[in-house]
Amino acid sequence: MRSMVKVRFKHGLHTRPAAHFTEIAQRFASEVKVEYKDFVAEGKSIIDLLKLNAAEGSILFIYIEGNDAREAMSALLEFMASDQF
Amino acid sequence: MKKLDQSGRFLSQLVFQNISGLLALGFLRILFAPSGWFPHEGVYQIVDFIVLYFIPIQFANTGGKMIGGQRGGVIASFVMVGLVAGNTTSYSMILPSMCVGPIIGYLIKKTDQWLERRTPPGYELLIYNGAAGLVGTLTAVVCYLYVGPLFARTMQMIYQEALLLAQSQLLPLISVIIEPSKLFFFNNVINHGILEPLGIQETKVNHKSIFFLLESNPGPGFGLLLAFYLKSKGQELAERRNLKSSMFIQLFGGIHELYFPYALMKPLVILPLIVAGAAGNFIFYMFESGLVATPSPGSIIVLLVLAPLGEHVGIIVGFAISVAVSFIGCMFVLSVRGAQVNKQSANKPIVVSELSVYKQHEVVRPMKKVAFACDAGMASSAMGAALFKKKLREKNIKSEVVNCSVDRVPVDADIVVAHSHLIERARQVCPGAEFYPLVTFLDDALYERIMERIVETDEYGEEDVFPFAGGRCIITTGHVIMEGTAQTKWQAIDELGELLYRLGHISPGYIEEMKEREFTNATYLGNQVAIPHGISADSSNIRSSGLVVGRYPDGIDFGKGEIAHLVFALAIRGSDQLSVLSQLAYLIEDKHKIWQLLHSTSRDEVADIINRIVLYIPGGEKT
Repeated sequence: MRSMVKVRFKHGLHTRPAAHFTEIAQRFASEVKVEYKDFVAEGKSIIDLLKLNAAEGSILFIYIEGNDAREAMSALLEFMASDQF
Repeated sequence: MKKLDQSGRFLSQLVFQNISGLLALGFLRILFAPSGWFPHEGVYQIVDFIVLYFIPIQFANTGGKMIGGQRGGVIASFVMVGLVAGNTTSYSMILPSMCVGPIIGYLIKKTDQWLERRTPPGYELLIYNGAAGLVGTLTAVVCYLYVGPLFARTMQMIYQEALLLAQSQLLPLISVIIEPSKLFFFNNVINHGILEPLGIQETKVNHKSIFFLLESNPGPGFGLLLAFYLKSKGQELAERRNLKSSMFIQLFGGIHELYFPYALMKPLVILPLIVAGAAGNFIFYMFESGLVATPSPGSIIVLLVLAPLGEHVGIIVGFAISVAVSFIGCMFVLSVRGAQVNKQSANKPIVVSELSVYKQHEVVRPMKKVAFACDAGMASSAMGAALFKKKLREKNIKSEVVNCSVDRVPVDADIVVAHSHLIERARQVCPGAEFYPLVTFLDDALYERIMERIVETDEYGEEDVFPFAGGRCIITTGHVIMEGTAQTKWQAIDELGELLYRLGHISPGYIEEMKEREFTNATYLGNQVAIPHGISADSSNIRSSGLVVGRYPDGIDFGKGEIAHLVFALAIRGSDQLSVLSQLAYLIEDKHKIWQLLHSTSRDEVADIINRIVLYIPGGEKT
C-alpha cells in the first residue's frame, strides 16, 4: 500500500525524527520504503532516511508491503503527523 | 623540562596580571616610607596590610581563576585568608599563595568535572556552588591546621637562604644564570616567578631589595644594541633604523625582548652580557642599592622611579657600568667575528604547512583580524600591534589588530604574528590562521608583506563563512582528532565539544546540549559511526556552523552495545543542518570510505576524504 505524507518537522527529516521513524518501522514485519525525489530509501535504515535530505514541507511517499502493512502505515502516518519535533 | 617551562610561564603570567597592584605598592613605599619623599607613618601602615593580606589573597585568586574559573578564584581566596590568618611568622604568604591558588583551582575544576555527569539538569547552580563551598571549607581547615605551619617553616628557610645570598659576595655571579636564560625568553619567568616574590619579602624587612634589579637592569642589552648599531655601518638603511629604534625602545620602553634575537645571532656575545650583568650587580651590591617594587617593564625610567631617595646614584652607576662592559665586550666580539647580521637566518621563511591546506582547497577568506602574540601578551606584542596599527592607518587599510599572550590567541584570528619559537604554540591554539613568524617586532619588511596579504584577500568580500570558506570545505586539519583519549561517550562529547569551542563554532553551553540530546536519544548511526549534536539547530550556542571528527581506536560504547570508532560532532545552524546530515549519511553508508577514514595516517587525508563528500553550502539548497 502507498501513502503520501508531508514532512512537518522543523528543519526536516533530521536525525531524531529519522531515528523515531526507523524505530517504528522496525516494529513491523512488513517492508517499508520511503520515496522522495526519485530516491527510494529503506524505511528501517536511519542512514538511508537521512540521505533523502527531506526538508520541512517536502512530500514523501511511503510504500509498505507485508502482513502487517496496514498497522505499520497507520503508526507511521500518526508519527509523521505528530508535533513531536 | 616542558612541564617546568609551563609551570614557570604559568607563575609569571599569574604575577604579570597583578603588576598594577604591585606597582601601586611600590609607589606607596617610595612616597611614604620613613626614608621616602613624604614620610608618613599612618599611610605607610597600609603597606603592611597589602603585603600580608592583599598580595597573597590576590595571587591565590588569580591562580585559582586561571585554572578553575570564577569559583576556583573565590575558593582559592577563601582558603588563602585562612592560611594568612593562621600565619604566626612575620613572613608574607606570597610564595605559598602562588602554589595554593592553582591547586585549589585544580580541585574545583576536578570537582566540577566529576559532578558534570551526575547533576540532574536544573540543579547545576545549587550543586556546583554547594560542592565548591564544601571543598573550600575542607581545604581551609586542612590548610590552617597542617599545611600552614609547613609552609611557614619552608618559607623561613627559603627567605633566609635568599637573604644570605643577597648579602653574600656571590650575588653578582647570579647573572651567569640570568643572562643566558633571558635570551631564551625566560625573562618573565625568572623575574616574576622567582625574583619578585623574594624581593617583596626582603622589602618588608629592608624597605628595598636588590632582587628587583637583577633581571630588570636594561644596561647589558642596551650596550649590546649600541655595539651592533655602531658596527652596522654599510648595512641596509632599514636594518640600521631597526637597530636604532630597538635601542631606544629597549632603554626607555623596557622591552628587553628586542635584543634577544641579536644576541642569538652571535651567540658569543653571551659572555660580555654575563660579565656586564655581573658588573652591574656588583655595583648595586657595593652601593647596597635596591628598588621597592619590580620595575615592569624594565625601563631605565621605571628603575629610577622605583628607587628610594638617595639610591639613584648607585642605580645609575651600576647601569652605566653594565652598559660600558657589555658595549666594549660586544664590540670586541663583533670586530673579531664581523657584525654582518645574517639576514637569511634571521628571517626564516613562513611556515606554511597549515596555509597550504587552504590553498589546496582554493579557499581564500578576507584577513580581518591580525593577532600579535608574545609570551605574556603585554609588552613586545603590544608594541608590535601598535606599530602595525600605525602602518595600517598610514596606508588606510582596515583590519582589526589585537595583542595577546601566545596561549590565548583568539580563535577567530586570521593572521597570527609571533616570534618564530612561539609559532608552534600559537598554532595549537588557533589552527585555522595564517602564521607569520618574526625575529623582532620591528620587522618592517614582514609588516609590509602582511599588509599586502590583507589587501590582496580583501576582495573576497564580506561574507565570512570560515571554515566553509566559500561553501567548499567543511573541515580543516585542525578539525580532526586523530586519536581521541575519551573512554566513554560523555568524554568523547567533552573532547570534541571542546575542539568545536576552541575553533569558535560554539559557546560552551552547546556541550551540555549535546549531552542532553545524547541522553534522550543515542546518536549512533551505524557502520561504527556516531554523530553527537545539540538539541536544536536554532540554538544560540552555535556561533558559526562547524563539524569536527574524532577517531577512537579502542571504540566507544554509544549504548545498546553499539561501538563507535569514528565520532562526528555537529554544530550546524538552522536548515543547513539537514543537508549536512544527509551528505554525512552518504559518507557513513560507504564502508570503504569509513575504513579509509579509520586507517589513514594523516590529518590531511582525513580532512580530504570528508571534504570531498560533505559539501557545505551556507544558506542551504532551497527546494
